[in-house]
Amino acid sequence: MSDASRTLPGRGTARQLRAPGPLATAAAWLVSALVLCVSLARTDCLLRHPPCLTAHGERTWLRWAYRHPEPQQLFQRIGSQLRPGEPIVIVAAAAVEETYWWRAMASYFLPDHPIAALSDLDRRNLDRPPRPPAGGPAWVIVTAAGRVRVLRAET
Amino acid sequence: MIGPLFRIVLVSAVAILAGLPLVAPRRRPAAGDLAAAWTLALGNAAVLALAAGLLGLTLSPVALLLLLIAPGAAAAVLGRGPRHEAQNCDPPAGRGGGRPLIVASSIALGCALAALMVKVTRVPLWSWDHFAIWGVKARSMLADGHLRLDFLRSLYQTRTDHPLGVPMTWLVLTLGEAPSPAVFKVLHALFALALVAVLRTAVRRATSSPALANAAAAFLAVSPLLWDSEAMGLAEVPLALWATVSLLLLAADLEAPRSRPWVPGLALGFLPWIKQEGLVLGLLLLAAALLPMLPTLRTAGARRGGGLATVTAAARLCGPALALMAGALAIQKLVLPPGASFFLGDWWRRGLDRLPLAVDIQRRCLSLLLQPDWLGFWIVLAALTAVAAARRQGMALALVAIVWIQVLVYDLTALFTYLPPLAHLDASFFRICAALVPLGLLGMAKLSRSPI
Repeated sequence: MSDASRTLPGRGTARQLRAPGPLATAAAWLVSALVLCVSLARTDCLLRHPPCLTAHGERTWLRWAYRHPEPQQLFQRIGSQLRPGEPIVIVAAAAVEETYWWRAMASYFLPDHPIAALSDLDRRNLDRPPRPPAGGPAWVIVTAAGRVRVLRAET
Repeated sequence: MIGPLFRIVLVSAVAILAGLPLVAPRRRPAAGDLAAAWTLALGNAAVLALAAGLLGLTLSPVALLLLLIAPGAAAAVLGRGPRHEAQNCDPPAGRGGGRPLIVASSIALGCALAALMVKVTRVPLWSWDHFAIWGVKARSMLADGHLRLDFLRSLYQTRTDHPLGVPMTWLVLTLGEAPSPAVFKVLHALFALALVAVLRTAVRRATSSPALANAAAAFLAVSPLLWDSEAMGLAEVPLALWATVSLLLLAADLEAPRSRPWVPGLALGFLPWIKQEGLVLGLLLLAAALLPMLPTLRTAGARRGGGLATVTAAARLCGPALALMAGALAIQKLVLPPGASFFLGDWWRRGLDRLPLAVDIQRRCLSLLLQPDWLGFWIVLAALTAVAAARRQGMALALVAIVWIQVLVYDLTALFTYLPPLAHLDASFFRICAALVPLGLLGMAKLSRSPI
């Protein structure tokens, strides 16, 4: 640890250590058996469909943080329809309430596309989609099923 | 996926080669040494890359590789170590438990690691802090080889003042390419395996018992730190890895014929580059590392030369560590946009106002530490802390004391931050305490044996 330790006996040679006592040996047996049982039970649980995710963080936060499954695929679908650097308005069910989710995910998956605004998707008007204003951002409409439609003002 | 994987394999191989002259010069390395070399080289490269990026230099793949190699190459060229050191510092195996126990503990370790890999494969990357804080920075902070931090101001509800060491380490591993979620999972698996290997070697050297080493490593693999997929893509596993590497290197330096305390100093100094709480942890570990020097300092009056050597050694350990810590603080205060600091506003008044809540806060912390997910870890640690205190087992007691002090810091933080204290604890206390598990396991292992 230090030059000062040169004054301590044992520098440069492996220290003489007492053999592990019976308690340490018993602890090693106990921990090995515990880990073996836990690992087998968890693996069985993991290989089910869907895998059960029951760790503390998973129980507490998974549903909240991962509210839209497969965000990567969703944002890939959105990104593939956008022009480089194009700002967007996201129109989705409860988008305003979930502003934090949409903004954080868009920053992560679409860093080059600033979000100009978020708007709630009105299911009644799906057949008559809103008309984006000329010169404004593209409107990205995301249905509850995860379908994506990008609307731009007629030029 | 093949391209990024190839890069990660290439960089990892270079990192191990570049780190070995620092970690295990001129001797046959154990698996934990290889993992420690990988870790140390990556940390050094991340610091150099951030410094170079802030100076406006281009961080091309070649430049990143050069930064990775530079510290190890300098150590290899300038180092004047002995030609032959002990093979790998590992003491001979003890006889406790015998071969059946070694086989059983190896099987347990293998099963735990297999289960962990199955989990990493099957679970999506979902942790909120990954998307909002850590991952988004790694994906946006390098553009065409140029470090750009202006994007931090436009991020929504992020922690702009959190350190950039981990995102930069990930970028060094991908040679500057923004990692995809699949790549983040690969990186998490690598950090987890490195941590298991380092802890196993550290326990093996502290106890000379391969069975205890396997058992400790296996327990770590099923502990919440590695098992809870919330930690994927966050900075808790890296924080635990660098802290454990610091301890492994400190212990190895104590055994080595030629002391190089600046090497563990580099690992300790990187802790605040990972997470803000790394500063407290780094200072505590540094203080513990200085403990063995105290007896020499006390007798310094009698032996002038011994005192001078001790002060020099302390300076060689503390110098790099404190310089790196100061660098991390300087970047946080001078370069990064000010974030919503946890201590925003009149934190002292807030703490006094919340004193009546102190019992509720303690009760919540206790309830979180007694969750079955821990498999009894904190209960056993508390019992063994009492044993260590009764026996006055110096370094083991110091290590478990550091764990408890760090828990207390997390606990007290809830009293003073601008966030509602109980909600703050629910959000992060369990997760950040998980990063202390390897240190606690090493402390417990040290208790099982003590020098004659």
